[in-house]
Amino acid sequence: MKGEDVMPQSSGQQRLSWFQRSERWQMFTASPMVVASAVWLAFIVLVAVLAPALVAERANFQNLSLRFFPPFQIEQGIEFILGGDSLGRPILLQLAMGAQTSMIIAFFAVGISSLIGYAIGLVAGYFGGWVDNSLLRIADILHTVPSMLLALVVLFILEPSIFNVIIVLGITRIPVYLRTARAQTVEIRERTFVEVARSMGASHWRIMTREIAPLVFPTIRTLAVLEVAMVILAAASLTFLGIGLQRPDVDWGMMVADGKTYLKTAWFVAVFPGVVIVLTALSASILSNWLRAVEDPTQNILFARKPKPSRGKAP
Amino acid sequence: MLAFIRGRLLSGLLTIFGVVVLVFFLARLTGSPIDLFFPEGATQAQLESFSRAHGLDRPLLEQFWVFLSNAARGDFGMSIWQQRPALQAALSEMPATLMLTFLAMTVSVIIAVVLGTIAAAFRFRLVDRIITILTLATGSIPHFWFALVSILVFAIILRLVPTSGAGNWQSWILPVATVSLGPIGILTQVTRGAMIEVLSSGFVRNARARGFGSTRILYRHALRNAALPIIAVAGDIAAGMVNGAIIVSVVFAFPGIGKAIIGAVLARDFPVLQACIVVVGIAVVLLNLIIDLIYVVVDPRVRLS
Amino acid sequence: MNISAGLKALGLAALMSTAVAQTAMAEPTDRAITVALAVELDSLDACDTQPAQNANIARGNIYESLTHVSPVDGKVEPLLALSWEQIDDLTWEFKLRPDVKFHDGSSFTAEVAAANINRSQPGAMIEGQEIACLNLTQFPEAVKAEAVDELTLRVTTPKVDPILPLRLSYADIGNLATQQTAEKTTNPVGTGPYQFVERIQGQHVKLTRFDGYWGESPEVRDVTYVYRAEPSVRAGMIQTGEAQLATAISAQDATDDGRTVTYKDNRIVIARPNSFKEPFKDPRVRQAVSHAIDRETIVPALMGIGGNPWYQMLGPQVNGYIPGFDETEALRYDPEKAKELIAAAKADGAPVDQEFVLVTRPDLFPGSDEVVQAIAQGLQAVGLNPRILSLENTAWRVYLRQPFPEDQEGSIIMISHDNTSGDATFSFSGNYATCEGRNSATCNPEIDRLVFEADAAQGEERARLYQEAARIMYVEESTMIGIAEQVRLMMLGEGIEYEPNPLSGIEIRIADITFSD
Repeated sequence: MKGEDVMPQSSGQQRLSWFQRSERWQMFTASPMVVASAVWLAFIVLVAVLAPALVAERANFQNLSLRFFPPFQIEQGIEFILGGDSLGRPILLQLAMGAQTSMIIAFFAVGISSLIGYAIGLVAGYFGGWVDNSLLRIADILHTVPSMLLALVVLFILEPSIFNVIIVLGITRIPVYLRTARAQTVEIRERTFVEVARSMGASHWRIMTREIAPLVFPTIRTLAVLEVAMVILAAASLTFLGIGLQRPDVDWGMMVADGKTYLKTAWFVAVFPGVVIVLTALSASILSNWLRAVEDPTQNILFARKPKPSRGKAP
Repeated sequence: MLAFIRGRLLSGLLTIFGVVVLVFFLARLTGSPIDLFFPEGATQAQLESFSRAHGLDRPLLEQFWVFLSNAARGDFGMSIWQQRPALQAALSEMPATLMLTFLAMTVSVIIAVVLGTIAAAFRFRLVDRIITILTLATGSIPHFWFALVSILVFAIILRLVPTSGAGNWQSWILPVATVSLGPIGILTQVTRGAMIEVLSSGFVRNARARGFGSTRILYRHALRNAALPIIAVAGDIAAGMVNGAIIVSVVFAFPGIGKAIIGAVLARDFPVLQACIVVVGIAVVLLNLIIDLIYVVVDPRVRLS
Repeated sequence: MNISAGLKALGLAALMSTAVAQTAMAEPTDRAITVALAVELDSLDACDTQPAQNANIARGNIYESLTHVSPVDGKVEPLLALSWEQIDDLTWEFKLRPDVKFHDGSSFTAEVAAANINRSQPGAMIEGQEIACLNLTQFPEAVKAEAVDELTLRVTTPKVDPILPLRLSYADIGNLATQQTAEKTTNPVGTGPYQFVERIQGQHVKLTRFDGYWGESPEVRDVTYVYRAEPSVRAGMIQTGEAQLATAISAQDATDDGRTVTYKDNRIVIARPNSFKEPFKDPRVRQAVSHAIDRETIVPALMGIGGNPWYQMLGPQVNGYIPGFDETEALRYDPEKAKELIAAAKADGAPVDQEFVLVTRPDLFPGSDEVVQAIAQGLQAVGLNPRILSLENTAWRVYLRQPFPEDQEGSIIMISHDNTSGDATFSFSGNYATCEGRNSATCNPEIDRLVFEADAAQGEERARLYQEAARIMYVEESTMIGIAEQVRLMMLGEGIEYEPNPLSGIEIRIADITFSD
């Protein structure tokens, strides 16, 4: 199909120009929401790095007399400001401990699946024919095998650990990226500039990595960010089946799952970790949208400054 | 056209075959149903007797061959736990699954298209920001959380709908709402992005120049052009929903092949697992075919290749 | 209450002609109820009624057995058999109840009873096909039943078995047609007060009152069973009136309006250190484990009304239960003692610092993950080195059952064990206590001797021998460490009266339900 009408961007529009780059910082500070998202993510990453060394002991100490200690009270010190969980551990510190695990799971699981899916999708879309067909079939197969089965198989081969969770979630999400990357590649492959590069004798490798991959990347990144929350929660369902993390290790999904039994009696046990997951996923989405806006004005989204036609072009 | 359909069906069959082979051997890596079937006190002789009765004592390749030759005739064997053929166990879950998928996709596409279009039309304004934040947030709400809280509020406190089960039409409301949450979030974003793209493209400006009203432009021209990516993403989500929607099945005690698959995996009910995989596989292949055909209807420029 | 009094009567002919306990003055109504269960049943065949999810619906409603364990005192009572007599060491004769009809109109006779019993034995074959009945675990070695005349049944056992009448309470009786095939039936026909209407798998089972029932006609006419995995949903259904009886309610959903009722079904949470592996080869380390667990704090805090602290592996209604043990001999919480024992073991070269796994399952009992974490903290506090391993069912069983793989690490496994029969043989012999026991992680010849002697003994002597074996297991060996007695919760709808009993976990007799409004 001819791409121009359906997908109107051209390579020129998608590539970064010096002008857009100079505007980046301005666009960033112009939106308080983007700043807030960045600050939140930076904070979470900082906590993830520092918490295990600083508060592990206190975070995991059970004091049954503080079971379901109510939130927003400081009698037990600031660490109980978000209340106590079902074993009387401070929820605030548990969240801090969970940050590291959740970040590791989200980063590596999403990283593995998106990179592999991205790479295979590029190859499949670029070469087409039987390569495309067989890679797509493999993706379909992966997509249809129940992730729980895969998880159990991994459990029977390895001991339960965070590593298993990453492998299982990583493998099962590959097809999503693969298909998206392939679809875009098929479309971009037909564009004039690719033809030009080909006629100038560029190698397949060069065309794929230099001409096509950068254009596919923003979509993959957007998708990956949208998957973050899903992956954090999916990890919890594996844990519940005895396949994932083991206590005293903790991640946010596990905290939500543990607290769901007490939704009626102690709402805060499940709600605080849930809110943290939503906030983190939301921040990641906002930042990724912003990045996309910076790179590609036609995709101009929400947080980009409203273009001012008269003055916008002036340096 | 027919050749296209035939080609897709053939490659679909190939996929299903691949999945079945993989699942057959993977499942047998996860232990045997025998231990689970009996109470803790069972003796070795009793376990062996059960194993013989279900042919689980034979060599793996022989079991595989028996399975393949029977499956080719449409016989997937008897379920190990339920007193019925495995295929029947799988098929009985499908009507509810397909209906739930259909309803949830209809609801989420309608809501997402409306919200996404509004957001695109008012891009950068407050409305746009609110819609984007809300839909991104709903996309990250844990399913079981929403399910349990909505049961508490709408069924137990307000008594508007039943808590669970698949009976009258009211019992569909909460399950459909729960599975629609995620898709609404993603599809709104997709619609918004596609609409903005189309609105800023040449032919919409042309339409405007020719004096068409902006509502008409939005719905007649822009939406039609933005439809392709929406259909593509919605199709993918629908396919995932056919073997997903597990939490809804568990919390609302709603039938669903996703739950049946998990149940079969956990209970090591290999015949049911294999039958479910085949049934889901066929459903997904057909669904993908339908989506491809919808492409053609929506946008005749799309060639079937 | 001890079962030994009941067992004493077993050798004699128990000539009791009265029917099983019936609720007073049941007045048949045309009302219907819905029962919300946690797990869907697997099979409605008469020979598959052992697992609770099957028994909940089928036992006492669709099917009845020859004998019945009284929920009041654990005695074996007549049901479809009126009386029985041990003719010689290996032969028993049962006189059956006359004029009992199956739901399909066929008559209950000795021939039908024999067919049922034989079909549920290990290795039973019909038309060359092997049947694997779930009830066969009640019969470690196959017994043989034959009809002497229309209402006289003879059962022969391969070795002396004083509790045969008790075992037969697990053999539910279906009509002859279902017994002549190796296929499990999907259209159950029994003699009980309710007959099967329909089963839609994944959805519900429906029963209706059987008008030709030999006993008293119950109040409830129609019953629908539905399955809801989520405890809060089951409780919610009672509140909204969608269900009139809900089982397996969790402590945090319990109400104090009298609608939440409790019962104990002799189900005990146990920690079992594996004495074949380090660091638990030294009995002192195992004893230290028992001393390190603060049951009196953990159980009330985390299980609430769902549990009581416990120190044995059997419930009070089982004949192996040792009365007064908890206060006198039990290895109660005493961290100082635990540290001393560990220090002593260490001095003798035991690798007490070695890491071991504390194995559990997410679905072991409600809130089990929390209890296990609390136990782990207690073990750490006395210097042991546990690592929690919460596994899926099949993987969990690898740690439970003999033989233990060579390369398996040392472990304490968490178990939830129930014994609804009232007899310790189901828990001990070939199971948790003896050297060859399938789930045993200990080997003490003295325990084996006592258990095997008990298996052939009767009454008080049988109980005494089991208790003797149990005492060694708890105190000297410390391989079966009681943690908590589970208390089960049930929720009743407005206007529904039902008094749960120790058998309610496996048998909810709809005939026992009455309406108060």
